[in-house]
Amino acid sequence: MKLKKEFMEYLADIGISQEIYIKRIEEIYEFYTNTCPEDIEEIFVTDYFTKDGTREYESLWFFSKSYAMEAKNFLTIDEDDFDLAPIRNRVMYWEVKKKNYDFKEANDNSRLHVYFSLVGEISGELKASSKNCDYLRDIFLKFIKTNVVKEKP
Amino acid sequence: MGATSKPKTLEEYKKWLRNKHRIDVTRSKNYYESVALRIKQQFESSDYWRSLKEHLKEYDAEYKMNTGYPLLMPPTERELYIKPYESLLVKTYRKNCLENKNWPDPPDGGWILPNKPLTWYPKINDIVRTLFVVKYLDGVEFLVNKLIELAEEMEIKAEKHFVAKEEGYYAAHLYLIREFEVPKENWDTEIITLKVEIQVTTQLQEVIRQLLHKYYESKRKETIKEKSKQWQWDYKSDEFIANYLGHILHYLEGMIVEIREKQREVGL
Repeated sequence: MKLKKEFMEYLADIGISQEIYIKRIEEIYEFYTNTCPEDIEEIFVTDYFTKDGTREYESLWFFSKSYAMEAKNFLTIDEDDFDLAPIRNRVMYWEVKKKNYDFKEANDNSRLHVYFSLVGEISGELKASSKNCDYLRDIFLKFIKTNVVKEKP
Repeated sequence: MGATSKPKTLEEYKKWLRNKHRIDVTRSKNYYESVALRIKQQFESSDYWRSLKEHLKEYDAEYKMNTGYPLLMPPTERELYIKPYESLLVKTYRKNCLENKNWPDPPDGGWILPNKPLTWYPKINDIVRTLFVVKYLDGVEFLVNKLIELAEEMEIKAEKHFVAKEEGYYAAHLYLIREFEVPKENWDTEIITLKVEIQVTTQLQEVIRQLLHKYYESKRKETIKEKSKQWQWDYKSDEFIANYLGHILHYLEGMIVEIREKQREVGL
């Protein structure tokens, strides 16, 4: 299944343009399109840099209004490890760690790590390097911060 | 569960980790799997692993010339395996609790905690491992020596242990010690020194291992109970049967090699 234009632009921006990677992401996108009860709104790929400057990708995330979906270690061919969790008004705790990042504009040395836990002892971790931090910031603001459990008055 | 009560089950242990050390087991599992995968990938693409796979046919040929029999059981292509997180947790459960003579204080060397991978992972010898199965008992030492030679040629530190346990487990464990670059929990990477385990065992030991694998796993999780009898005298117990079977098979394999060599001497 072909990815949305904005998803392709995002992937290109974080250095993913290889046909074989795009094909894999499309497979996973199709899987979640068929299994998630809502339209998928956003995509995110966790990444980090090795000491020689190589960019490594770990998990592929998709978000809809009410759900978060993670394909762990999505570029390995050994096995698929996919899950989905409801997030709407279910975020119990979040933690943000960052380096060289003002939460406004990322540079090459920026690093951002977001951890969140949901009602039901489910948790997620997202990490980003360089420009990807800006995308993670947006994901955090749109899907994690806004879904913190609201206390009953 | 009181603060000083020793956890009696793995579930209690997970709660103990959370309550005493503020460790989220799910979180540490995800991180462990990410790190273990990277270690496996790096070792798979290493010169040593590639070279080993290329040399196996030569080793087989040399052994056959010496003995008249093939070295390895098929399939000769071996895979690398990652230790499941659950097994890792059980290992730390044993060290932190079941076998901890200092309880409720830390064991000698300190607590082994999942949220401190730099201190924890190097203490686990087999995050990534593989297994070679040879036909005959003498093939174990033969192959181990070849693997050590290959490591020395490539200037990789290696250790060998010929393991013989009271429970009837017999195998050689070879550890290759090298550095791996692994993702840190938050960002970037770090270099850690780890051991990759290569097990070499015989076909009969492998058969019994597969049969008894589930038994060994559940045994490792059990609390050490006070027993009214030592298993060596408790002929009705599962341990008596399983453990002595392992010993008997090892003895039989020794006799098989002995007969094989005598046949060769007399030209049969």
